[in-house]
Amino acid sequence: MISFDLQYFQPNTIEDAINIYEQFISENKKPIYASGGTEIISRARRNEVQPDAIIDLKNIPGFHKCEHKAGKLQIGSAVTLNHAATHSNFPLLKTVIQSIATQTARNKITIGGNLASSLPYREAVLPLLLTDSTIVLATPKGAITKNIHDVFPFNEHLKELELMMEVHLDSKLIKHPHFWIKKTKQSQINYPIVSVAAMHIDNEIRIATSGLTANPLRMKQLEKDILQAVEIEDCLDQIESYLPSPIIDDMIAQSDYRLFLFKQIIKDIAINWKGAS
Amino acid sequence: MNHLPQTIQVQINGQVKTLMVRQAELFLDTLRNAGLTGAKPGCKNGDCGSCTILVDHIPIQACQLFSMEVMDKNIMTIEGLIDQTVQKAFEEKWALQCGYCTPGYILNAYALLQHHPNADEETMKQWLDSNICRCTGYQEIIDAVTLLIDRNEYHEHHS
Repeated sequence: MISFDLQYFQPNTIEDAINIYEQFISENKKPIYASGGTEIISRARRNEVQPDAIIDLKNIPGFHKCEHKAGKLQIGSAVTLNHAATHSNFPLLKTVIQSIATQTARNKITIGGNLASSLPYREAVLPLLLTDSTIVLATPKGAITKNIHDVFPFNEHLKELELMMEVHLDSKLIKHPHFWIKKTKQSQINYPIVSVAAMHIDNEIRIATSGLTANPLRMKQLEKDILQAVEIEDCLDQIESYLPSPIIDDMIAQSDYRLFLFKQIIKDIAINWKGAS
Repeated sequence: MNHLPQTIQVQINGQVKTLMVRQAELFLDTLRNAGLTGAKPGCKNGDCGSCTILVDHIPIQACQLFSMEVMDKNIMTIEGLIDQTVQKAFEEKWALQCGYCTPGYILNAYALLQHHPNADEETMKQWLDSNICRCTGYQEIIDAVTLLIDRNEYHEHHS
Protein backbone atom coordinates (compact mmCIF):
# COMPACT_ATOMS: atom_id res chain seq x y z
CA MET A 1 0.00 0.00 0.00
CA ILE A 2 0.94 3.63 -0.31
CA SER A 3 1.13 4.92 3.24
CA PHE A 4 0.59 8.62 2.63
CA ASP A 5 -2.38 10.43 1.15
CA LEU A 6 -2.45 12.15 -2.17
CA GLN A 7 -4.98 13.62 -4.54
CA TYR A 8 -5.68 11.93 -7.82
CA PHE A 9 -6.80 13.80 -10.95
CA GLN A 10 -7.76 12.62 -14.41
CA PRO A 11 -8.05 15.83 -16.46
CA ASN A 12 -9.60 15.68 -19.92
CA THR A 13 -7.54 18.46 -21.47
CA ILE A 14 -3.89 19.40 -21.42
CA GLU A 15 -4.87 22.87 -20.22
CA ASP A 16 -6.58 21.38 -17.17
CA ALA A 17 -3.56 19.18 -16.48
CA ILE A 18 -1.20 22.14 -16.56
CA ASN A 19 -3.58 24.25 -14.45
CA ILE A 20 -3.76 21.58 -11.75
CA TYR A 21 0.03 21.24 -11.83
CA GLU A 22 0.50 25.02 -11.54
CA GLN A 23 -1.99 25.26 -8.68
CA PHE A 24 -0.14 22.67 -6.61
CA ILE A 25 3.20 24.32 -7.34
CA SER A 26 1.78 27.69 -6.24
CA GLU A 27 0.81 26.07 -2.94
CA ASN A 28 4.35 24.72 -2.50
CA LYS A 29 3.07 21.19 -3.01
CA LYS A 30 4.47 18.45 -5.20
CA PRO A 31 2.35 17.35 -8.15
CA ILE A 32 3.50 14.66 -10.53
CA TYR A 33 2.29 13.73 -14.01
CA ALA A 34 1.56 10.08 -14.68
CA SER A 35 0.34 8.03 -17.60
CA GLY A 36 1.13 4.40 -16.78
CA GLY A 37 2.19 5.28 -13.26
CA THR A 38 4.00 2.00 -12.54
CA GLU A 39 7.26 3.57 -11.43
CA ILE A 40 5.45 6.19 -9.34
CA ILE A 41 3.48 3.48 -7.56
CA SER A 42 6.59 1.39 -6.88
CA ARG A 43 8.54 4.36 -5.59
CA ALA A 44 5.65 5.79 -3.58
CA ARG A 45 5.17 2.41 -1.90
CA ARG A 46 8.80 2.64 -0.74
CA ASN A 47 8.35 6.32 0.21
CA GLU A 48 11.01 7.32 -2.32
CA VAL A 49 8.58 9.85 -3.78
CA GLN A 50 5.73 11.49 -1.91
CA PRO A 51 3.69 13.52 -4.39
CA ASP A 52 0.76 15.54 -3.12
CA ALA A 53 -1.07 14.99 -6.38
CA ILE A 54 -1.06 12.50 -9.25
CA ILE A 55 -2.18 14.06 -12.52
CA ASP A 56 -3.12 11.10 -14.71
CA LEU A 57 -2.88 12.01 -18.39
CA LYS A 58 -4.61 8.93 -19.79
CA ASN A 59 -7.95 10.64 -20.42
CA ILE A 60 -6.55 13.38 -22.61
CA PRO A 61 -7.41 12.81 -26.27
CA GLY A 62 -4.33 12.66 -28.48
CA PHE A 63 -2.11 11.15 -25.83
CA HIS A 64 -3.16 7.73 -27.17
CA LYS A 65 -2.41 8.24 -30.83
CA CYS A 66 -0.06 5.81 -32.56
CA GLU A 67 -0.26 6.37 -36.29
CA HIS A 68 1.61 7.26 -39.45
CA LYS A 69 0.42 10.64 -40.66
CA ALA A 70 1.95 13.18 -43.04
CA GLY A 71 5.09 11.05 -43.39
CA LYS A 72 5.62 10.85 -39.64
CA LEU A 73 5.15 8.13 -37.10
CA GLN A 74 3.34 9.89 -34.24
CA ILE A 75 3.13 8.27 -30.81
CA GLY A 76 1.32 9.84 -27.86
CA SER A 77 3.00 9.76 -24.49
CA ALA A 78 0.20 7.69 -22.87
CA VAL A 79 0.48 4.92 -25.47
CA THR A 80 1.38 1.68 -23.71
CA LEU A 81 4.55 -0.07 -24.72
CA ASN A 82 2.59 -3.05 -26.05
CA HIS A 83 0.34 -0.82 -28.13
CA ALA A 84 3.34 1.01 -29.59
CA ALA A 85 5.07 -2.29 -30.38
CA THR A 86 1.99 -3.61 -32.18
CA HIS A 87 0.78 -0.49 -33.96
CA SER A 88 3.87 1.56 -34.77
CA ASN A 89 5.02 -0.76 -37.57
CA PHE A 90 8.58 0.13 -36.49
CA PRO A 91 10.51 -3.16 -36.27
CA LEU A 92 13.35 -1.91 -34.05
CA LEU A 93 10.94 -0.20 -31.64
CA LYS A 94 8.94 -3.43 -31.40
CA THR A 95 12.04 -5.50 -30.70
CA VAL A 96 13.36 -3.09 -28.08
CA ILE A 97 10.00 -2.79 -26.34
CA GLN A 98 9.61 -6.55 -26.13
CA SER A 99 12.74 -6.67 -24.00
CA ILE A 100 11.44 -4.14 -21.46
CA ALA A 101 9.83 -5.54 -18.29
CA THR A 102 7.18 -8.21 -18.95
CA GLN A 103 4.29 -8.60 -21.37
CA THR A 104 1.79 -7.83 -18.60
CA ALA A 105 3.77 -4.87 -17.27
CA ARG A 106 3.98 -3.45 -20.80
CA ASN A 107 0.18 -3.24 -20.82
CA LYS A 108 0.60 -0.47 -18.22
CA ILE A 109 4.00 1.11 -18.88
CA THR A 110 3.77 3.92 -21.43
CA ILE A 111 6.16 5.49 -23.89
CA GLY A 112 6.06 8.78 -21.97
CA GLY A 113 6.59 7.03 -18.66
CA ASN A 114 9.54 5.03 -19.93
CA LEU A 115 11.24 8.13 -21.34
CA ALA A 116 10.61 10.11 -18.14
CA SER A 117 11.71 7.31 -15.82
CA SER A 118 14.17 8.02 -13.03
CA LEU A 119 15.93 4.72 -13.77
CA PRO A 120 19.04 4.81 -15.97
CA TYR A 121 17.75 2.39 -18.61
CA ARG A 122 14.74 3.88 -20.47
CA GLU A 123 15.42 1.62 -23.44
CA ALA A 124 12.35 2.70 -25.44
CA VAL A 125 14.19 5.92 -26.17
CA LEU A 126 16.98 4.21 -28.12
CA PRO A 127 15.08 3.84 -31.45
CA LEU A 128 13.84 7.41 -31.00
CA LEU A 129 17.41 8.70 -30.56
CA LEU A 130 18.56 6.74 -33.63
CA THR A 131 15.84 8.26 -35.81
CA ASP A 132 16.46 11.83 -34.60
CA SER A 133 12.86 12.09 -33.39
CA THR A 134 11.13 15.27 -32.37
CA ILE A 135 9.26 15.68 -29.11
CA VAL A 136 6.05 17.71 -28.92
CA LEU A 137 5.92 19.38 -25.53
CA ALA A 138 2.95 20.94 -23.82
CA THR A 139 3.77 24.22 -22.10
CA PRO A 140 1.58 26.86 -20.45
CA LYS A 141 2.00 28.92 -23.66
CA GLY A 142 0.99 26.09 -25.99
CA ALA A 143 2.63 23.19 -27.77
CA ILE A 144 6.24 23.41 -28.92
CA THR A 145 8.39 20.95 -30.85
CA LYS A 146 12.00 20.17 -30.04
CA ASN A 147 14.63 17.76 -31.28
CA ILE A 148 14.95 14.79 -28.96
CA HIS A 149 18.68 15.41 -28.62
CA ASP A 150 17.89 18.84 -27.12
CA VAL A 151 15.39 17.64 -24.51
CA PHE A 152 16.53 14.14 -23.51
CA PRO A 153 17.17 13.23 -20.74
CA PHE A 154 14.02 14.97 -19.61
CA ASN A 155 15.13 15.31 -15.98
CA GLU A 156 18.06 17.48 -17.12
CA HIS A 157 16.49 19.47 -19.93
CA LEU A 158 12.73 19.89 -19.48
CA LYS A 159 11.49 22.92 -17.61
CA GLU A 160 9.11 22.38 -14.71
CA LEU A 161 5.88 23.01 -16.60
CA GLU A 162 6.93 21.29 -19.83
CA LEU A 163 5.37 17.95 -20.52
CA MET A 164 5.86 15.42 -23.32
CA MET A 165 2.72 15.01 -25.42
CA GLU A 166 3.96 13.12 -28.47
CA VAL A 167 7.04 11.86 -30.25
CA HIS A 168 7.31 12.15 -34.03
CA LEU A 169 9.78 10.51 -36.38
CA ASP A 170 10.25 10.15 -40.12
CA SER A 171 8.20 7.16 -41.33
CA LYS A 172 10.79 6.50 -44.04
CA LEU A 173 13.43 5.59 -41.46
CA ILE A 174 11.65 2.76 -39.70
CA LYS A 175 12.35 0.00 -42.22
CA HIS A 176 16.10 0.44 -42.37
CA PRO A 177 18.25 -2.48 -41.19
CA HIS A 178 18.58 -2.60 -37.44
CA PHE A 179 20.46 -4.39 -34.71
CA TRP A 180 19.48 -4.91 -31.09
CA ILE A 181 21.11 -6.69 -28.21
CA LYS A 182 20.46 -6.64 -24.49
CA LYS A 183 22.94 -8.24 -22.12
CA THR A 184 21.54 -9.06 -18.69
CA LYS A 185 23.11 -10.69 -15.67
CA GLN A 186 20.75 -13.66 -15.45
CA SER A 187 17.22 -13.90 -16.83
CA GLN A 188 16.14 -12.12 -19.98
CA ILE A 189 13.65 -10.07 -17.97
CA ASN A 190 15.97 -7.76 -16.13
CA TYR A 191 17.67 -4.43 -16.31
CA PRO A 192 20.53 -4.45 -18.79
CA ILE A 193 24.22 -4.65 -18.08
CA VAL A 194 24.35 -2.99 -21.44
CA SER A 195 21.89 -2.68 -24.33
CA VAL A 196 22.81 -1.50 -27.79
CA ALA A 197 20.48 -0.47 -30.61
CA ALA A 198 21.85 0.35 -34.03
CA MET A 199 20.46 1.28 -37.42
CA HIS A 200 22.08 1.32 -40.83
CA ILE A 201 20.60 4.37 -42.53
CA ASP A 202 21.97 5.23 -45.97
CA ASN A 203 25.72 5.51 -45.40
CA GLU A 204 25.50 5.92 -41.67
CA ILE A 205 25.80 3.41 -38.86
CA ARG A 206 23.83 4.90 -35.96
CA ILE A 207 24.40 3.61 -32.44
CA ALA A 208 22.60 4.19 -29.14
CA THR A 209 23.13 2.48 -25.84
CA SER A 210 21.55 2.04 -22.43
CA GLY A 211 23.00 0.67 -19.22
CA LEU A 212 26.47 2.02 -19.80
CA THR A 213 26.03 5.39 -18.08
CA ALA A 214 23.40 7.25 -16.06
CA ASN A 215 21.38 8.04 -19.19
CA PRO A 216 20.80 6.33 -22.54
CA LEU A 217 23.12 7.78 -25.17
CA ARG A 218 23.37 8.28 -28.89
CA MET A 219 27.07 7.74 -29.75
CA LYS A 220 27.53 10.17 -32.66
CA GLN A 221 31.31 10.53 -32.41
CA LEU A 222 31.73 6.77 -32.27
CA GLU A 223 29.52 6.46 -35.36
CA LYS A 224 31.89 8.78 -37.26
CA ASP A 225 34.96 6.96 -35.99
CA ILE A 226 33.64 3.60 -37.11
CA LEU A 227 33.05 4.86 -40.63
CA GLN A 228 36.52 6.40 -40.84
CA ALA A 229 38.51 3.72 -39.04
CA VAL A 230 40.80 1.43 -40.97
CA GLU A 231 41.08 -0.84 -37.95
CA ILE A 232 38.01 -1.03 -35.72
CA GLU A 233 40.23 -1.55 -32.66
CA ASP A 234 41.49 2.03 -33.05
CA CYS A 235 38.10 3.58 -32.34
CA LEU A 236 37.22 1.14 -29.57
CA ASP A 237 40.03 2.59 -27.48
CA GLN A 238 38.41 6.03 -27.67
CA ILE A 239 34.95 5.00 -26.43
CA GLU A 240 35.45 5.88 -22.78
CA SER A 241 36.49 9.43 -23.67
CA TYR A 242 33.18 9.97 -25.52
CA LEU A 243 31.03 9.18 -22.50
CA PRO A 244 29.53 12.20 -20.72
CA SER A 245 29.51 10.51 -17.32
CA PRO A 246 31.20 7.57 -15.59
CA ILE A 247 30.30 4.03 -16.54
CA ILE A 248 27.85 2.50 -14.08
CA ASP A 249 29.60 0.31 -11.52
CA ASP A 250 27.15 -1.55 -9.31
CA MET A 251 26.11 -4.96 -8.04
CA ILE A 252 24.73 -5.91 -11.46
CA ALA A 253 28.06 -5.44 -13.21
CA GLN A 254 31.40 -3.72 -12.75
CA SER A 255 32.20 -0.80 -15.03
CA ASP A 256 35.10 -2.66 -16.67
CA TYR A 257 32.79 -5.50 -17.62
CA ARG A 258 30.13 -3.16 -19.00
CA LEU A 259 32.78 -1.46 -21.15
CA PHE A 260 34.19 -4.81 -22.27
CA LEU A 261 30.74 -5.98 -23.38
CA PHE A 262 29.99 -2.69 -25.11
CA LYS A 263 33.24 -2.83 -27.09
CA GLN A 264 32.57 -6.39 -28.19
CA ILE A 265 29.09 -5.44 -29.37
CA ILE A 266 30.38 -2.41 -31.28
CA LYS A 267 33.02 -4.59 -32.89
CA ASP A 268 30.34 -7.04 -34.03
CA ILE A 269 28.20 -4.24 -35.47
CA ALA A 270 31.16 -2.71 -37.32
CA ILE A 271 32.27 -6.05 -38.74
CA ASN A 272 28.77 -6.85 -39.95
CA TRP A 273 27.90 -3.45 -41.42
CA LYS A 274 31.15 -1.75 -42.35
CA GLY A 275 31.38 -3.50 -45.68
CA ALA A 276 27.95 -2.24 -46.66
CA SER A 277 28.83 1.34 -45.77
CA MET B 1 -9.71 19.70 -3.50
CA ASN B 2 -9.71 17.27 -0.65
CA HIS B 3 -8.06 14.15 0.65
CA LEU B 4 -11.30 12.41 1.48
CA PRO B 5 -12.02 8.94 0.18
CA GLN B 6 -13.70 8.93 -3.18
CA THR B 7 -16.53 6.83 -4.50
CA ILE B 8 -15.74 4.86 -7.64
CA GLN B 9 -18.05 2.81 -9.77
CA VAL B 10 -16.56 -0.21 -11.45
CA GLN B 11 -17.84 -3.39 -13.03
CA ILE B 12 -16.25 -6.40 -11.33
CA ASN B 13 -17.01 -9.86 -12.62
CA GLY B 14 -20.13 -8.63 -14.35
CA GLN B 15 -21.56 -6.72 -11.40
CA VAL B 16 -21.48 -2.94 -11.05
CA LYS B 17 -19.94 -2.08 -7.70
CA THR B 18 -19.75 1.24 -5.91
CA LEU B 19 -16.66 1.35 -3.72
CA MET B 20 -15.22 3.89 -1.33
CA VAL B 21 -11.45 4.18 -1.79
CA ARG B 22 -8.56 6.32 -0.60
CA GLN B 23 -7.16 8.29 -3.51
CA ALA B 24 -3.75 6.70 -2.86
CA GLU B 25 -5.23 3.23 -2.59
CA LEU B 26 -4.01 0.47 -4.89
CA PHE B 27 -6.59 -1.70 -6.56
CA LEU B 28 -5.10 -4.91 -5.19
CA ASP B 29 -5.97 -3.71 -1.68
CA THR B 30 -9.42 -2.56 -2.78
CA LEU B 31 -10.21 -5.97 -4.26
CA ARG B 32 -9.01 -7.88 -1.24
CA ASN B 33 -10.83 -5.57 1.17
CA ALA B 34 -13.96 -6.26 -0.88
CA GLY B 35 -13.50 -9.99 -0.26
CA LEU B 36 -12.05 -10.81 -3.67
CA THR B 37 -8.87 -12.43 -2.40
CA GLY B 38 -8.06 -14.40 -5.55
CA ALA B 39 -5.65 -11.65 -6.61
CA LYS B 40 -2.63 -12.49 -4.45
CA PRO B 41 -0.15 -10.00 -3.02
CA GLY B 42 3.30 -11.25 -3.95
CA CYS B 43 6.07 -8.80 -4.74
CA LYS B 44 3.63 -5.84 -4.78
CA ASN B 45 6.07 -4.33 -7.25
CA GLY B 46 4.77 -5.48 -10.64
CA ASP B 47 7.33 -8.23 -10.94
CA CYS B 48 5.63 -11.51 -10.02
CA GLY B 49 2.19 -11.44 -11.65
CA SER B 50 0.39 -13.13 -8.74
CA CYS B 51 -2.11 -10.25 -8.54
CA THR B 52 -2.91 -10.30 -12.27
CA ILE B 53 -6.47 -9.31 -13.16
CA LEU B 54 -8.09 -8.42 -16.46
CA VAL B 55 -8.95 -4.77 -17.06
CA ASP B 56 -11.11 -4.45 -20.16
CA HIS B 57 -9.84 -7.94 -21.14
CA ILE B 58 -6.17 -6.94 -20.80
CA PRO B 59 -3.96 -8.51 -18.09
CA ILE B 60 -2.77 -5.93 -15.59
CA GLN B 61 -1.10 -6.35 -12.21
CA ALA B 62 -3.53 -5.03 -9.59
CA CYS B 63 -0.61 -3.85 -7.43
CA GLN B 64 0.32 -1.43 -10.22
CA LEU B 65 -3.09 0.24 -10.43
CA PHE B 66 -4.51 3.09 -8.46
CA SER B 67 -8.10 2.24 -7.56
CA MET B 68 -9.05 5.61 -9.03
CA GLU B 69 -7.79 4.42 -12.41
CA VAL B 70 -10.35 1.65 -12.79
CA MET B 71 -13.36 3.95 -12.63
CA ASP B 72 -15.94 2.67 -15.16
CA LYS B 73 -13.66 -0.18 -16.27
CA ASN B 74 -14.64 -3.81 -16.73
CA ILE B 75 -12.68 -5.95 -14.28
CA MET B 76 -12.36 -9.71 -14.18
CA THR B 77 -10.76 -11.46 -11.24
CA ILE B 78 -10.24 -15.19 -10.86
CA GLU B 79 -13.55 -15.37 -8.97
CA GLY B 80 -15.32 -14.20 -12.11
CA LEU B 81 -13.77 -16.66 -14.54
CA ILE B 82 -16.78 -18.90 -14.95
CA ASP B 83 -15.25 -20.71 -17.92
CA GLN B 84 -13.43 -23.67 -16.33
CA THR B 85 -11.44 -24.75 -19.41
CA VAL B 86 -8.12 -23.28 -18.32
CA GLN B 87 -8.50 -24.52 -14.75
CA LYS B 88 -9.19 -28.06 -15.96
CA ALA B 89 -6.11 -28.00 -18.19
CA PHE B 90 -3.99 -26.83 -15.23
CA GLU B 91 -5.43 -29.69 -13.19
CA GLU B 92 -4.89 -32.21 -15.97
CA LYS B 93 -1.23 -31.26 -16.40
CA TRP B 94 -0.54 -30.79 -12.66
CA ALA B 95 0.31 -27.15 -13.41
CA LEU B 96 0.07 -26.08 -9.79
CA GLN B 97 1.85 -26.93 -6.59
CA CYS B 98 1.31 -24.53 -3.68
CA GLY B 99 -1.28 -22.67 -5.79
CA TYR B 100 -0.35 -19.14 -4.78
CA CYS B 101 0.63 -18.02 -8.28
CA THR B 102 -2.15 -20.01 -9.95
CA PRO B 103 -4.92 -17.36 -10.17
CA GLY B 104 -2.53 -14.94 -11.87
CA TYR B 105 -1.30 -17.59 -14.26
CA ILE B 106 -4.81 -18.74 -15.12
CA LEU B 107 -6.05 -15.23 -15.89
CA ASN B 108 -2.95 -14.46 -17.93
CA ALA B 109 -3.29 -17.74 -19.84
CA TYR B 110 -7.01 -17.08 -20.37
CA ALA B 111 -6.26 -13.62 -21.80
CA LEU B 112 -3.48 -15.05 -23.97
CA LEU B 113 -5.87 -17.60 -25.46
CA GLN B 114 -8.57 -14.98 -26.00
CA HIS B 115 -6.16 -12.73 -27.87
CA HIS B 116 -4.03 -15.44 -29.50
CA PRO B 117 -5.98 -18.73 -29.63
CA ASN B 118 -3.27 -20.22 -31.82
CA ALA B 119 -0.34 -18.64 -29.98
CA ASP B 120 3.05 -19.82 -31.17
CA GLU B 121 5.77 -20.82 -28.73
CA GLU B 122 7.39 -17.38 -28.74
CA THR B 123 4.11 -15.57 -28.03
CA MET B 124 3.24 -18.01 -25.25
CA LYS B 125 6.69 -17.53 -23.72
CA GLN B 126 6.37 -13.73 -23.90
CA TRP B 127 3.02 -13.81 -22.08
CA LEU B 128 3.79 -16.47 -19.48
CA ASP B 129 7.14 -14.88 -18.60
CA SER B 130 5.07 -12.20 -16.85
CA ASN B 131 4.36 -14.54 -13.94
CA ILE B 132 6.64 -16.18 -11.42
CA CYS B 133 6.06 -19.59 -9.83
CA ARG B 134 8.32 -20.06 -6.82
CA CYS B 135 7.56 -23.79 -6.82
CA THR B 136 9.18 -23.60 -10.29
CA GLY B 137 6.40 -25.53 -11.98
CA TYR B 138 6.96 -23.72 -15.24
CA GLN B 139 7.07 -26.67 -17.61
CA GLU B 140 3.71 -28.00 -16.39
CA ILE B 141 2.15 -24.56 -16.87
CA ILE B 142 3.51 -24.40 -20.41
CA ASP B 143 2.18 -27.93 -20.98
CA ALA B 144 -1.30 -26.89 -19.79
CA VAL B 145 -1.45 -23.87 -22.11
CA THR B 146 -0.01 -25.89 -24.99
CA LEU B 147 -2.74 -28.47 -24.41
CA LEU B 148 -5.40 -25.77 -24.76
CA ILE B 149 -3.83 -24.47 -27.96
CA ASP B 150 -3.50 -27.97 -29.41
CA ARG B 151 -7.13 -28.70 -28.60
CA ASN B 152 -8.16 -25.43 -30.27
CA GLU B 153 -10.20 -24.65 -27.17
CA TYR B 154 -10.39 -20.92 -27.69
CA HIS B 155 -10.41 -20.63 -31.45
CA GLU B 156 -14.21 -20.20 -31.68
CA HIS B 157 -14.20 -17.35 -29.14
CA HIS B 158 -11.73 -15.43 -31.26
CA SER B 159 -13.00 -16.10 -34.77
